[in-house]
Amino acid sequence: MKKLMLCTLFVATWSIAALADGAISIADPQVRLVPPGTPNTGVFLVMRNGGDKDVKLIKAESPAAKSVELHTVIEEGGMKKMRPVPSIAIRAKGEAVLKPGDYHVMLIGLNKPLQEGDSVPLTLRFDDGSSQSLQAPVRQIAMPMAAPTAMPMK
Amino acid sequence: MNISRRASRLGIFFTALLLVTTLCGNAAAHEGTHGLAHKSGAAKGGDFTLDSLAGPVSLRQFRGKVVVLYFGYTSCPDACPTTLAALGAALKSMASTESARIQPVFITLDPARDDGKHMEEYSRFFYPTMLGLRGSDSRLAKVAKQYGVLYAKQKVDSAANYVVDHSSFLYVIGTDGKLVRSLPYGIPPKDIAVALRAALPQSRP
Repeated sequence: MKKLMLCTLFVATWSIAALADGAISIADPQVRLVPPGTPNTGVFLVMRNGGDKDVKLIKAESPAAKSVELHTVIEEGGMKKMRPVPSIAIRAKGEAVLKPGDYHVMLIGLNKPLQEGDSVPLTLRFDDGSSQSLQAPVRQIAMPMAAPTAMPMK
Repeated sequence: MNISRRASRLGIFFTALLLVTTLCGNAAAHEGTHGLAHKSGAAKGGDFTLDSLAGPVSLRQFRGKVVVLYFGYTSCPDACPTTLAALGAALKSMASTESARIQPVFITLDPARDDGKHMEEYSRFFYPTMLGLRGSDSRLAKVAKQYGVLYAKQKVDSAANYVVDHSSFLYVIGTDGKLVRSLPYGIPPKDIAVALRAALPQSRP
């Protein structure tokens, strides 16, 4: 019983903390380290929605690049196709994972080459009027997220 | 009554016209797709010559080595750096006696934007001995067709201006120059290493 009360108290406190921060929280932001002279790169992160309403990411801004866009990758006709999207939805009590091969924030036209260990300032704007500003570290991203098994030819 | 019927007919006519225009537009957009008839399973591989920053490079030069080939482009936002980083990690995880017998090659599907110098810089970033190759549109189309690579330049509403849609496989070529197998997008570095090792001839004690 005591445990249950403690647990309830903990959840209540956590919920209040989450409310105070707004519905959206951001975890694990990272910018892909790209070779020198490469004009574009991707930003990956997790957006969690602690609220009861679906929220959409509608815009991303950064002083690190000339343009910042929301993109996705679709697989169609045997090809990988990158396409801009107007928004990325984060379901109520859910999360949206921006990862390689999927939704991501694109930095297009980097103002200066990024080095490993640099931090890129990023502001995310949501359709509920809220926004989140964060620093995304530049890292080498070697592992693809999906890992299908190798197929022999023919 | 008559007028409204005529109006609705006109509506149907314009809807049909719009449909036809849209379909034609799509067909036109797909015209840029090279080698569409070539499914990756039909890839035969084979020799080719393309240009590195230092001059022409032929696949033939690497007989006795395993060659691992990838087609992409340097402003590729996602599939290319992910795959090349995985390939680099695989090679770094192997014994130097093994990796010394493997030649990684990156071929650009966007020669208009990727010059020789950038191809070299970009390729070496992922692995020091990775070669970056380019060629004219027609030479490139020929090599892509040999390996069953699908690609199409696509205008998008983005500051990136256009992207190149493309299939994303690593092609493992044996020491005899013959295509051994292709590895799909998303394969982890350790599985790439296994596939490359399997293509190396067993060293005799």
